[in-house]
Formats: sequence, structure tokens, C-alpha cells
Amino acid sequence: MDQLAGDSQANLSIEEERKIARTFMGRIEWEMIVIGLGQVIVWVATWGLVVNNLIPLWGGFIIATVSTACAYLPSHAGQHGHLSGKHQNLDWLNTFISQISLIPLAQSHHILKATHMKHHAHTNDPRKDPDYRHSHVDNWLQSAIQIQNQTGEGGLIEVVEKLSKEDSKFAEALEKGGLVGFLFFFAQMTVAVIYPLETLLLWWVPRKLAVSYLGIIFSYEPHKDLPIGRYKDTRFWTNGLPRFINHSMQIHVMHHMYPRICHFDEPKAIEALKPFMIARGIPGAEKIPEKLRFNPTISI
Amino acid sequence: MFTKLLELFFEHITNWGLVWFGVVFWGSIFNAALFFFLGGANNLVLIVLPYLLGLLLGLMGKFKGWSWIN
Repeated sequence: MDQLAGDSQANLSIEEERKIARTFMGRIEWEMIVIGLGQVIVWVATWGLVVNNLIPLWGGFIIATVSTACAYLPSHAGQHGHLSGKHQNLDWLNTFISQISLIPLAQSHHILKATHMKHHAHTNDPRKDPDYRHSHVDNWLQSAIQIQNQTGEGGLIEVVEKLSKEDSKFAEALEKGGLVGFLFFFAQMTVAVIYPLETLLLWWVPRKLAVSYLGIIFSYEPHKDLPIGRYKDTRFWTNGLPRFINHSMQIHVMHHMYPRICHFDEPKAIEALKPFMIARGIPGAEKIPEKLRFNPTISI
Repeated sequence: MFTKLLELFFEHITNWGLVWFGVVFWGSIFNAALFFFLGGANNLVLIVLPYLLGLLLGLMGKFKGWSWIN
């Protein structure tokens, strides 16, 4: 790997870039499987502890909020096929783990996958990027609010309808995911009748906080005010917090360049591809440190 | 026949889901909150009020596009 990175200094062609990037693809991202299942176990256990009065509701609220904030990233890995890697016979793991991981967020894997793939295909395009409305706003608070109204009038619906007309597979995925959406809809109402305050503070509020947090770090910070274009649509950024608290979204650029590289391999992939990133003019690339592994990168 | 009923049901939920969510989900939460702060209520108005507030929130959700209530 280091040899490859060394050789590339003289050759910054797209072929060389792809050759290096490919060396980081194809493994099973077991870390995301652990996080996905782990956070659901924590969330369910928290419910059990609160309902049985073993911990107070406010304590459960804090635990549920933190664990729910970790619910999306494993699903995201599943959406990109990282959970099965190059093993096609394990493809079911992507849907299975992703959907289980999404229980605290009450979301459908199929819907999120379909819209996320469109985000990658049309990043920063106001007509076709499903994330555009909460990425291209004036500040993080607007992003946090905007993402909560995605399904409202004039929101994501217009983009989704347009994409559904253009792509029948996209429409099919939404229909498939809609059933899971209905299931979560009824599940929340049923649980609210039995455990009303617990449902509010262990499910609804943590879910809303997590979605806003995810909207800010996944969409707004990496994409705000940026144009369309493979090397222009995502930036390196910092908000003064350690990388790990932001789900490493400060280095989200790597994911947009090569979505098949696993999340946990992105730091070493960036170390290897840094000369290419600088040469391509990726926003913020010139500021990234030489070593990213185990580096909180507070000051990119 | 069953498929048709199911279709009608899903259509109804698609159009009026937020209102039902307001009544059932938010009504239950408002009811529990009222019970938490005021204790058990014997008064019919106090029993029905939380669900009416939930209905109101659901209607606002539907007609004002407040999808965040779900």
C-alpha cells in the first residue's frame, strides 16, 4: 500500500487514483455490524430497564439519544453493500443489519437506500438531490429544522415524485419500503398507548434529535454552498469537535469520491490518496494532516 | 375483496395518517402528561381533552404540512 502511494506521487492520473482506491475496497465491514446490532441491543435494553423501573426515564432518555445517534451509520454501510463486501452470497446482511439498525430511527432501509443513491448520483442538484433542502441552508439550525419537514408540503415529495417518474426501480424501492414505514407508524402508536411517556422520551425525541444531528454532520457541513461535480461537491470540514463525535463526517469527501470504500478504511485511503485530492482541487484537501488514523483532526 | 379493502385502508392512512397519529400517539402522551402533573382525573372533560388536543395537532399536521409530528 505504501509502495503504491509512493509511486503515485509521479503519476496522478485517474487510472492510478482508481488503482489505489480499489485496494481499500471489498472487505466485510464487521465494525458496522457490531455497531448496528450493538446500538439496537442497547436501545432495547434501555426500554427494558426503564419500563421495569431499574433506571429513571431521564437516564434512559440520555442513553437512547446517544444510541439512536449511532443507528444510521451501520444502515449507511448496508446501503452501500459494505456489510457483505465482495461476498455476494452475504448480500442479505446489508438489508438485514441495516433494517435492524434503523429501528430506533423508525425508517425503512429500502427508502433510505433509494434516496441515498440518488443523493450520490445528483449531489447538490436542487432538482434531484433528496438531501438538497437541508444541505443548502444558511446555518446548522436551519438544517436541523429543515430535515424534520422532509415529508411536508413542498418538501422532499416534489423531488421524489420527479425521480419516481424517471426511474421505475426507484419508485419500486419506495413502495417496498413504504410497508416498513407503515409498520413503524403503527408500532409507534401502539407502544405510545401502552407506554406513552417512555415512547416520547425513548423513541420519538431521541429519533428527532438524532435525525437533526445526522442532517447537520452528514449533509449540511460536507455539502453546504458547494456546486455539482465529482471533486467539487464535498469538502473537508471541522467544527472543533473530535472526528469521532462527528461520525468522521469531516472526511466525508472520501466517501463521495469512492463510496465503495468502507467507512473505517477512509482515513488510510485518504492518506494514500491525498496527493490526488490536492491535485483535483477538493475543497480543504490541502489542509488535511499526513496521518489520519486515530487522529481526531480537530483542525483540518 | 380483501386486496381492495387493504388498498382502501392504505389510501386512508396515506391521507389521514397524521390525524390518526395525532389522536392516538399525541393524545396518549398528552393524557399521560396530564396524569403525571395533575394526578388521576375523574372529570370527563379532562379525560377527553388530551385526545382532542392530539386531534388538533394531527389536523394541524395534515393541513399545515407539519410532518415533524410523526
